[in-house]
Amino acid sequence: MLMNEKEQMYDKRVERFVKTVNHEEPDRVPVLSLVETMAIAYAGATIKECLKSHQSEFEIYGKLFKDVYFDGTLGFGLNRAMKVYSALGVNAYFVSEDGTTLQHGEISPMSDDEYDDFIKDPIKFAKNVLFKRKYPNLNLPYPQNKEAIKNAALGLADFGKKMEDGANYLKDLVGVPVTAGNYIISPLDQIFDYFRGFKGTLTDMRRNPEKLMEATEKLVDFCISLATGNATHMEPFPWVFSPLHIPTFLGPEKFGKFYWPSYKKMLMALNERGAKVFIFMEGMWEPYYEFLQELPDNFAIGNLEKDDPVKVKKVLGNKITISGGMPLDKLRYDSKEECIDHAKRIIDECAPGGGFIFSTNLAVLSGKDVNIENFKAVNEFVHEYGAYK
Amino acid sequence: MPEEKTIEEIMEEVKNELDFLPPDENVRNGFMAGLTFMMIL
Repeated sequence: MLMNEKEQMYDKRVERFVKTVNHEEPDRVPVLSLVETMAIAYAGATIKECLKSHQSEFEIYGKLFKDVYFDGTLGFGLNRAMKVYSALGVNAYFVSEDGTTLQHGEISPMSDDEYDDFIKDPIKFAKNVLFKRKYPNLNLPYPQNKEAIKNAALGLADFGKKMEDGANYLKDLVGVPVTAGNYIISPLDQIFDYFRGFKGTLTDMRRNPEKLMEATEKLVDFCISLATGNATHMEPFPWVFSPLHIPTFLGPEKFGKFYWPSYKKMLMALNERGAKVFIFMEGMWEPYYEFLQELPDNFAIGNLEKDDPVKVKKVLGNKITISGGMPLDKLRYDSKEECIDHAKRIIDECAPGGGFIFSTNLAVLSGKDVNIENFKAVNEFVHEYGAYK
Repeated sequence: MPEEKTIEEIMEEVKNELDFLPPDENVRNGFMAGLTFMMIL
Protein backbone atom coordinates (compact mmCIF):
# COMPACT_ATOMS: atom_id res chain seq x y z
CA MET A 1 0.00 0.00 0.00
CA LEU A 2 1.31 3.45 -0.89
CA MET A 3 1.41 6.16 1.76
CA ASN A 4 -1.46 8.04 0.16
CA GLU A 5 -3.57 4.87 0.19
CA LYS A 6 -2.78 4.37 3.87
CA GLU A 7 -3.87 7.92 4.65
CA GLN A 8 -7.12 7.36 2.77
CA MET A 9 -7.64 4.07 4.60
CA TYR A 10 -6.94 5.83 7.91
CA ASP A 11 -9.54 8.52 7.18
CA LYS A 12 -12.07 5.90 6.06
CA ARG A 13 -11.56 3.94 9.27
CA VAL A 14 -11.94 7.02 11.47
CA GLU A 15 -15.18 7.76 9.61
CA ARG A 16 -16.44 4.23 10.38
CA PHE A 17 -16.02 4.81 14.11
CA VAL A 18 -17.43 8.35 14.08
CA LYS A 19 -20.53 7.33 12.12
CA THR A 20 -21.34 4.25 14.14
CA VAL A 21 -20.98 6.12 17.46
CA ASN A 22 -23.55 8.61 16.10
CA HIS A 23 -25.86 5.66 15.33
CA GLU A 24 -25.45 6.07 11.60
CA GLU A 25 -24.57 3.08 9.43
CA PRO A 26 -20.99 3.33 8.15
CA ASP A 27 -19.79 1.37 5.09
CA ARG A 28 -18.67 -1.54 7.31
CA VAL A 29 -18.83 -2.68 10.92
CA PRO A 30 -15.60 -1.35 12.45
CA VAL A 31 -13.25 -3.90 14.01
CA LEU A 32 -11.52 -2.60 17.13
CA SER A 33 -8.34 -3.98 18.70
CA LEU A 34 -8.15 -4.26 22.47
CA VAL A 35 -4.74 -5.88 22.11
CA GLU A 36 -2.26 -4.86 24.78
CA THR A 37 0.86 -6.85 25.71
CA MET A 38 -0.27 -9.89 23.71
CA ALA A 39 1.34 -8.13 20.72
CA ILE A 40 4.72 -8.63 22.41
CA ALA A 41 4.25 -12.40 22.73
CA TYR A 42 3.01 -12.52 19.13
CA ALA A 43 6.24 -10.92 17.94
CA GLY A 44 8.29 -13.41 20.00
CA ALA A 45 9.72 -10.49 21.99
CA THR A 46 9.79 -9.32 25.61
CA ILE A 47 8.97 -6.14 27.51
CA LYS A 48 12.70 -5.71 28.13
CA GLU A 49 13.24 -5.53 24.36
CA CYS A 50 10.39 -3.02 24.04
CA LEU A 51 12.10 -0.78 26.57
CA LYS A 52 15.32 -0.56 24.52
CA SER A 53 13.91 2.29 22.42
CA HIS A 54 10.61 3.67 21.17
CA GLN A 55 11.41 2.36 17.71
CA SER A 56 11.98 -1.17 19.06
CA GLU A 57 8.63 -1.03 20.85
CA PHE A 58 6.81 0.20 17.74
CA GLU A 59 8.32 -2.51 15.55
CA ILE A 60 7.43 -5.23 18.07
CA TYR A 61 3.83 -4.04 18.48
CA GLY A 62 3.45 -3.32 14.76
CA LYS A 63 3.96 -6.94 13.71
CA LEU A 64 0.50 -8.00 14.91
CA PHE A 65 -1.18 -5.12 13.11
CA LYS A 66 0.44 -6.17 9.84
CA ASP A 67 -0.96 -9.69 10.23
CA VAL A 68 -4.42 -9.23 11.84
CA TYR A 69 -7.16 -7.01 10.42
CA PHE A 70 -8.25 -4.02 12.51
CA ASP A 71 -9.97 -0.71 11.79
CA GLY A 72 -8.65 0.87 14.97
CA THR A 73 -6.95 0.12 18.24
CA LEU A 74 -7.68 1.42 21.71
CA GLY A 75 -3.94 1.75 22.31
CA PHE A 76 -0.57 1.03 20.72
CA GLY A 77 2.44 0.10 22.83
CA LEU A 78 3.03 -0.25 26.55
CA ASN A 79 0.41 1.87 28.28
CA ARG A 80 2.27 2.65 31.48
CA ALA A 81 4.91 5.34 31.93
CA MET A 82 7.53 2.99 33.35
CA LYS A 83 10.27 5.67 33.53
CA VAL A 84 8.12 7.78 35.86
CA TYR A 85 7.99 4.99 38.42
CA SER A 86 11.62 3.97 38.16
CA ALA A 87 12.62 7.62 38.71
CA LEU A 88 10.59 7.61 41.92
CA GLY A 89 12.28 4.45 43.13
CA VAL A 90 9.54 1.87 42.87
CA ASN A 91 8.39 -0.74 40.41
CA ALA A 92 4.65 -0.17 40.65
CA TYR A 93 4.33 -2.28 37.52
CA PHE A 94 6.38 -5.44 37.30
CA VAL A 95 7.05 -7.87 34.50
CA SER A 96 5.61 -11.38 34.56
CA GLU A 97 7.87 -14.44 34.61
CA ASP A 98 7.61 -14.99 30.85
CA GLY A 99 8.71 -11.40 30.24
CA THR A 100 5.70 -10.44 28.11
CA THR A 101 3.01 -9.00 30.40
CA LEU A 102 2.85 -6.23 33.00
CA GLN A 103 1.31 -6.76 36.40
CA HIS A 104 0.35 -4.43 39.23
CA GLY A 105 0.09 -5.25 42.92
CA GLU A 106 -2.68 -3.72 45.03
CA ILE A 107 -1.62 -0.63 46.94
CA SER A 108 -3.49 1.07 49.77
CA PRO A 109 -1.28 3.79 51.28
CA MET A 110 -4.11 5.62 53.06
CA SER A 111 -5.59 4.53 56.40
CA ASP A 112 -9.23 4.80 57.44
CA ASP A 113 -8.59 7.59 59.97
CA GLU A 114 -7.15 9.95 57.35
CA TYR A 115 -10.36 10.87 55.53
CA ASP A 116 -10.59 14.31 57.15
CA ASP A 117 -7.11 15.26 55.92
CA PHE A 118 -7.91 13.82 52.48
CA ILE A 119 -11.24 15.68 52.22
CA LYS A 120 -9.64 18.98 53.23
CA ASP A 121 -7.43 18.91 50.10
CA PRO A 122 -7.09 15.50 48.42
CA ILE A 123 -4.32 16.43 46.00
CA LYS A 124 -2.23 18.23 48.62
CA PHE A 125 -2.65 15.24 50.95
CA ALA A 126 -1.75 12.80 48.18
CA LYS A 127 1.40 14.74 47.32
CA ASN A 128 2.69 15.48 50.81
CA VAL A 129 1.68 12.29 52.62
CA LEU A 130 0.64 9.42 50.35
CA PHE A 131 3.28 9.88 47.65
CA LYS A 132 6.02 9.71 50.29
CA ARG A 133 4.63 6.37 51.40
CA LYS A 134 4.55 5.04 47.85
CA TYR A 135 7.80 6.37 46.44
CA PRO A 136 11.08 5.79 48.33
CA ASN A 137 12.99 8.45 46.39
CA LEU A 138 10.69 11.19 47.70
CA ASN A 139 12.08 10.50 51.18
CA LEU A 140 15.61 11.31 50.11
CA PRO A 141 16.97 14.64 51.43
CA TYR A 142 16.36 17.79 49.40
CA PRO A 143 17.42 18.32 46.61
CA GLN A 144 17.78 14.59 45.83
CA ASN A 145 14.02 14.15 46.11
CA LYS A 146 13.57 17.11 43.77
CA GLU A 147 15.88 15.43 41.25
CA ALA A 148 13.68 12.31 41.43
CA ILE A 149 10.58 14.36 40.62
CA LYS A 150 12.39 16.12 37.79
CA ASN A 151 13.39 12.75 36.33
CA ALA A 152 9.80 11.54 36.72
CA ALA A 153 8.64 14.63 34.80
CA LEU A 154 11.14 13.83 32.04
CA GLY A 155 9.82 10.26 32.04
CA LEU A 156 6.28 11.53 31.57
CA ALA A 157 7.31 13.82 28.72
CA ASP A 158 9.07 10.88 27.08
CA PHE A 159 5.94 8.75 27.51
CA GLY A 160 3.73 11.43 25.94
CA LYS A 161 6.06 11.68 22.96
CA LYS A 162 6.11 7.90 22.61
CA MET A 163 2.31 7.73 22.54
CA GLU A 164 2.13 10.42 19.86
CA ASP A 165 4.95 8.91 17.78
CA GLY A 166 3.42 5.43 18.16
CA ALA A 167 0.08 6.58 16.76
CA ASN A 168 1.88 8.14 13.78
CA TYR A 169 3.98 4.99 13.28
CA LEU A 170 0.86 2.80 13.16
CA LYS A 171 -0.87 5.21 10.78
CA ASP A 172 2.10 5.08 8.41
CA LEU A 173 2.48 1.31 8.79
CA VAL A 174 -1.07 0.10 8.17
CA GLY A 175 -3.40 3.12 8.19
CA VAL A 176 -4.96 2.15 11.53
CA PRO A 177 -5.99 4.93 13.99
CA VAL A 178 -5.53 4.85 17.76
CA THR A 179 -9.04 5.44 19.09
CA ALA A 180 -8.35 6.62 22.65
CA GLY A 181 -6.63 9.95 23.22
CA ASN A 182 -7.10 10.44 26.94
CA TYR A 183 -7.62 8.32 30.03
CA ILE A 184 -9.80 8.93 33.06
CA ILE A 185 -10.47 7.08 36.28
CA SER A 186 -13.61 7.80 38.28
CA PRO A 187 -13.27 9.23 41.80
CA LEU A 188 -14.35 6.05 43.59
CA ASP A 189 -12.13 3.86 41.42
CA GLN A 190 -9.18 6.10 42.30
CA ILE A 191 -9.88 5.58 45.99
CA PHE A 192 -10.43 1.85 45.41
CA ASP A 193 -7.45 1.22 43.12
CA TYR A 194 -4.87 3.58 44.55
CA PHE A 195 -5.70 4.91 48.04
CA ARG A 196 -7.70 2.44 50.14
CA GLY A 197 -7.61 -0.86 48.26
CA PHE A 198 -10.36 -3.46 47.93
CA LYS A 199 -10.83 -4.35 51.59
CA GLY A 200 -10.46 -0.76 52.80
CA THR A 201 -12.97 0.72 50.34
CA LEU A 202 -15.64 -1.91 50.99
CA THR A 203 -15.14 -1.54 54.75
CA ASP A 204 -15.42 2.27 54.47
CA MET A 205 -18.80 1.87 52.74
CA ARG A 206 -20.17 0.25 55.88
CA ARG A 207 -18.27 2.09 58.62
CA ASN A 208 -17.53 5.47 57.11
CA PRO A 209 -20.03 6.04 54.27
CA GLU A 210 -20.43 9.83 54.64
CA LYS A 211 -16.67 10.44 54.56
CA LEU A 212 -16.23 8.16 51.57
CA MET A 213 -18.95 9.98 49.61
CA GLU A 214 -17.45 13.34 50.55
CA ALA A 215 -14.03 12.14 49.41
CA THR A 216 -15.35 11.10 45.98
CA GLU A 217 -17.06 14.49 45.60
CA LYS A 218 -13.80 16.24 46.46
CA LEU A 219 -12.03 14.40 43.63
CA VAL A 220 -14.53 15.40 40.94
CA ASP A 221 -12.93 18.72 39.99
CA PHE A 222 -9.46 17.17 39.74
CA CYS A 223 -10.82 14.33 37.58
CA ILE A 224 -12.70 16.72 35.28
CA SER A 225 -9.63 18.91 34.94
CA LEU A 226 -7.53 15.89 33.93
CA ALA A 227 -10.14 14.48 31.60
CA THR A 228 -10.74 17.74 29.77
CA GLY A 229 -7.30 19.34 30.06
CA ASN A 230 -9.33 22.41 31.12
CA ALA A 231 -10.47 22.77 27.50
CA THR A 232 -13.89 24.22 26.74
CA HIS A 233 -14.19 22.16 23.55
CA MET A 234 -13.09 18.58 22.86
CA GLU A 235 -13.11 16.57 19.65
CA PRO A 236 -15.46 13.55 19.41
CA PHE A 237 -12.58 11.39 18.17
CA PRO A 238 -10.31 9.98 19.49
CA TRP A 239 -12.36 9.05 22.55
CA VAL A 240 -11.67 9.39 26.26
CA PHE A 241 -10.96 5.93 27.71
CA SER A 242 -12.67 5.11 31.00
CA PRO A 243 -11.96 1.73 32.60
CA LEU A 244 -14.36 0.86 35.44
CA HIS A 245 -13.20 -1.42 38.21
CA ILE A 246 -15.29 -1.54 41.40
CA PRO A 247 -18.89 -1.10 40.08
CA THR A 248 -19.88 -4.72 39.61
CA PHE A 249 -18.64 -5.61 43.10
CA LEU A 250 -21.13 -3.14 44.61
CA GLY A 251 -24.65 -3.96 43.45
CA PRO A 252 -27.00 -1.26 42.15
CA GLU A 253 -27.85 0.32 45.52
CA LYS A 254 -24.25 1.02 46.56
CA PHE A 255 -23.35 1.90 42.96
CA GLY A 256 -26.08 4.55 42.93
CA LYS A 257 -24.95 5.91 46.27
CA PHE A 258 -21.16 5.83 46.12
CA TYR A 259 -20.12 5.57 42.48
CA TRP A 260 -22.57 7.05 40.03
CA PRO A 261 -23.04 10.63 41.33
CA SER A 262 -19.38 11.68 41.02
CA TYR A 263 -18.75 9.58 37.91
CA LYS A 264 -21.79 11.01 36.16
CA LYS A 265 -20.54 14.55 36.84
CA MET A 266 -17.29 13.67 35.07
CA LEU A 267 -19.14 12.15 32.13
CA MET A 268 -21.44 15.13 31.75
CA ALA A 269 -18.46 17.50 31.77
CA LEU A 270 -17.00 15.52 28.88
CA ASN A 271 -20.31 15.49 27.02
CA GLU A 272 -20.74 19.25 27.43
CA ARG A 273 -17.40 19.74 25.69
CA GLY A 274 -18.21 17.45 22.74
CA ALA A 275 -16.10 14.44 23.76
CA LYS A 276 -17.14 10.78 23.49
CA VAL A 277 -16.19 8.24 26.13
CA PHE A 278 -15.19 4.60 25.73
CA ILE A 279 -16.31 2.83 28.91
CA PHE A 280 -14.73 -0.52 29.73
CA MET A 281 -17.71 -2.21 31.39
CA GLU A 282 -15.90 -4.92 33.31
CA GLY A 283 -18.06 -7.72 34.66
CA MET A 284 -21.85 -8.02 34.25
CA TRP A 285 -23.70 -4.71 33.95
CA GLU A 286 -27.29 -5.86 33.59
CA PRO A 287 -28.28 -4.64 37.09
CA TYR A 288 -26.97 -1.18 36.19
CA TYR A 289 -28.66 -0.52 32.82
CA GLU A 290 -31.06 2.03 34.34
CA PHE A 291 -28.09 4.23 35.26
CA LEU A 292 -26.74 4.14 31.73
CA GLN A 293 -30.16 5.25 30.46
CA GLU A 294 -29.42 8.60 32.12
CA LEU A 295 -26.54 9.27 29.70
CA PRO A 296 -26.98 11.53 26.67
CA ASP A 297 -27.62 9.78 23.34
CA ASN A 298 -24.62 8.97 21.14
CA PHE A 299 -22.13 9.89 23.86
CA ALA A 300 -20.78 6.61 25.27
CA ILE A 301 -19.30 3.47 23.79
CA GLY A 302 -19.68 0.58 26.22
CA ASN A 303 -17.31 -2.37 25.87
CA LEU A 304 -19.12 -5.45 27.16
CA GLU A 305 -17.34 -8.19 29.04
CA LYS A 306 -20.06 -10.52 30.34
CA ASP A 307 -23.25 -8.89 29.07
CA ASP A 308 -25.08 -10.37 26.09
CA PRO A 309 -24.59 -7.86 23.23
CA VAL A 310 -27.91 -8.85 21.64
CA LYS A 311 -29.79 -8.05 24.84
CA VAL A 312 -27.89 -4.79 25.33
CA LYS A 313 -28.72 -3.82 21.75
CA LYS A 314 -32.42 -4.18 22.56
CA VAL A 315 -32.30 -2.36 25.89
CA LEU A 316 -29.62 0.30 25.37
CA GLY A 317 -28.92 0.12 21.64
CA ASN A 318 -30.39 3.55 20.90
CA LYS A 319 -28.51 5.12 23.79
CA ILE A 320 -24.94 3.85 23.70
CA THR A 321 -22.70 2.24 21.09
CA ILE A 322 -22.00 -1.40 21.87
CA SER A 323 -18.42 -2.60 21.58
CA GLY A 324 -17.61 -6.27 21.95
CA GLY A 325 -19.22 -9.48 20.77
CA MET A 326 -16.20 -11.78 20.73
CA PRO A 327 -15.38 -13.53 24.01
CA LEU A 328 -11.69 -14.33 24.45
CA ASP A 329 -12.48 -17.85 25.67
CA LYS A 330 -14.25 -18.60 22.38
CA LEU A 331 -11.26 -17.34 20.41
CA ARG A 332 -9.03 -19.51 22.54
CA TYR A 333 -10.94 -22.78 22.76
CA ASP A 334 -13.56 -22.96 19.96
CA SER A 335 -12.98 -24.02 16.36
CA LYS A 336 -12.56 -21.43 13.62
CA GLU A 337 -16.01 -22.30 12.25
CA GLU A 338 -17.66 -21.91 15.66
CA CYS A 339 -15.99 -18.53 16.15
CA ILE A 340 -17.13 -17.31 12.73
CA ASP A 341 -20.69 -18.57 13.29
CA HIS A 342 -20.78 -16.67 16.58
CA ALA A 343 -19.44 -13.48 14.94
CA LYS A 344 -22.03 -13.76 12.14
CA ARG A 345 -24.91 -14.00 14.65
CA ILE A 346 -23.63 -11.01 16.60
CA ILE A 347 -23.33 -8.88 13.45
CA ASP A 348 -26.79 -9.90 12.23
CA GLU A 349 -28.32 -8.85 15.55
CA CYS A 350 -26.21 -5.85 16.55
CA ALA A 351 -25.04 -4.09 13.39
CA PRO A 352 -28.34 -2.74 11.94
CA GLY A 353 -28.68 1.02 12.48
CA GLY A 354 -25.04 1.51 13.51
CA GLY A 355 -24.02 1.87 17.13
CA PHE A 356 -21.95 -1.29 17.00
CA ILE A 357 -18.21 -1.97 17.05
CA PHE A 358 -16.85 -5.50 16.83
CA SER A 359 -14.12 -6.31 19.36
CA THR A 360 -13.05 -8.83 21.95
CA ASN A 361 -14.84 -8.67 25.29
CA LEU A 362 -11.57 -8.09 27.17
CA ALA A 363 -8.14 -6.64 26.65
CA VAL A 364 -5.81 -9.20 25.07
CA LEU A 365 -2.83 -9.40 27.39
CA SER A 366 -1.15 -12.76 26.99
CA GLY A 367 -0.06 -14.80 23.99
CA LYS A 368 -2.27 -17.60 25.26
CA ASP A 369 -5.42 -15.46 25.49
CA VAL A 370 -6.47 -16.36 21.94
CA ASN A 371 -5.81 -18.90 19.23
CA ILE A 372 -4.19 -16.50 16.79
CA GLU A 373 -5.51 -18.33 13.73
CA ASN A 374 -9.07 -17.88 15.03
CA PHE A 375 -8.36 -14.21 15.75
CA LYS A 376 -7.13 -13.59 12.20
CA ALA A 377 -10.00 -15.53 10.60
CA VAL A 378 -12.76 -13.87 12.64
CA ASN A 379 -11.53 -10.31 12.06
CA GLU A 380 -11.17 -10.94 8.30
CA PHE A 381 -14.65 -12.43 8.26
CA VAL A 382 -16.20 -9.48 10.12
CA HIS A 383 -14.50 -7.01 7.83
CA GLU A 384 -15.95 -8.78 4.77
CA TYR A 385 -19.33 -9.82 6.13
CA GLY A 386 -19.93 -6.61 8.07
CA ALA A 387 -20.51 -4.50 4.95
CA TYR A 388 -23.72 -2.44 5.18
CA LYS A 389 -25.90 -2.83 2.10
CA MET B 1 21.65 21.26 56.96
CA PRO B 2 19.58 20.99 53.74
CA GLU B 3 16.29 22.85 53.65
CA GLU B 4 13.16 20.71 54.27
CA LYS B 5 10.38 21.21 51.77
CA THR B 6 7.06 19.53 51.18
CA ILE B 7 6.51 17.51 48.02
CA GLU B 8 3.94 20.08 46.93
CA GLU B 9 6.55 22.85 47.23
CA ILE B 10 9.13 20.78 45.37
CA MET B 11 6.68 20.02 42.57
CA GLU B 12 6.03 23.75 42.25
CA GLU B 13 9.77 24.36 41.89
CA VAL B 14 10.07 21.58 39.32
CA LYS B 15 7.15 23.05 37.37
CA ASN B 16 9.06 26.29 36.89
CA GLU B 17 12.32 24.57 35.89
CA LEU B 18 11.18 22.20 33.12
CA ASP B 19 12.81 23.76 30.08
CA PHE B 20 11.09 21.47 27.57
CA LEU B 21 7.73 23.12 28.38
CA PRO B 22 6.65 26.51 26.99
CA PRO B 23 6.48 29.40 29.50
CA ASP B 24 2.65 29.35 29.48
CA GLU B 25 1.52 28.84 33.10
CA ASN B 26 -1.58 26.87 32.05
CA VAL B 27 0.51 24.40 30.06
CA ARG B 28 2.88 23.92 32.99
CA ASN B 29 0.02 23.46 35.44
CA GLY B 30 -1.60 20.93 33.09
CA PHE B 31 1.61 18.96 32.75
CA MET B 32 2.10 18.82 36.51
CA ALA B 33 -1.52 17.73 36.99
CA GLY B 34 -0.75 14.90 34.56
CA LEU B 35 2.35 13.99 36.56
CA THR B 36 0.32 14.03 39.77
CA PHE B 37 -2.22 11.68 38.16
CA MET B 38 0.57 9.33 37.05
CA MET B 39 1.91 9.35 40.60
CA ILE B 40 -1.53 8.47 41.94
CA LEU B 41 -1.70 5.45 39.56
